Amino acid sequence: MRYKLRTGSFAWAVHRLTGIALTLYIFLHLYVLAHLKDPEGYASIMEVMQSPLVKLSEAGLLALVIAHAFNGFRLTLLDLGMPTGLHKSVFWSAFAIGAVISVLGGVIIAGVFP
Amino acid sequence: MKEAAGWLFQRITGVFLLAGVLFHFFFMHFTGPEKITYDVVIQRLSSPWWKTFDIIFLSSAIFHGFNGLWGLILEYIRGEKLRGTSQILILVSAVVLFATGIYIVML
Repeated sequence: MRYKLRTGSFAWAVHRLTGIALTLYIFLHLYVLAHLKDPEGYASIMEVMQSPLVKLSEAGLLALVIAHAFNGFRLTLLDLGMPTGLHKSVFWSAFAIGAVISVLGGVIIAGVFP
Repeated sequence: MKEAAGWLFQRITGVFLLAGVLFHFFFMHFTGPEKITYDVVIQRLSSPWWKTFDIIFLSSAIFHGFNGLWGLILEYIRGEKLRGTSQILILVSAVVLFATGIYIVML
């Protein structure tokens, strides 16, 4: 049996991959937060956080979070009894809104707006 | 029954994380560095409301993430030894992360 890549199976694969990435990200997130134990450590880690590479990753992180969260919301609606015939249009609407939020958020993170 | 509870909890924590993560991004990522200085962050962390939010957010994220990985292990790992080892690794990671998070929230 072969799987065809369609909207549902694409969403399913993206949900798994982003889920794994986001769970692993918790380690990194708490590592950064652990620097809160003294002001000097916090200052040094915040300097790293301001670098362009980290900013770019932060924008990417937002896109992963939005993709996973919006798709998860769609799955929850399906579980709650949303007609399955609607799932594709809900997917593409969520995709469009999510893309706008990710791009806008990325622009904000990049510091374009003062 | 156990699986059904896991499924339900995955949904509940998921909805909470969706709301929480948007809130979190507005506060922590969409602000300039001057708004998240050491003093500001420690000040905010000292509020019991923020502590409560942070602990619920932390627990939800860890449960949701590791319950998800748990499901992937059951689905993909066929060898019993490797599966058992992975499950232990998942549990230990979740506990260590939770303890680290609580330590930070209580600073």
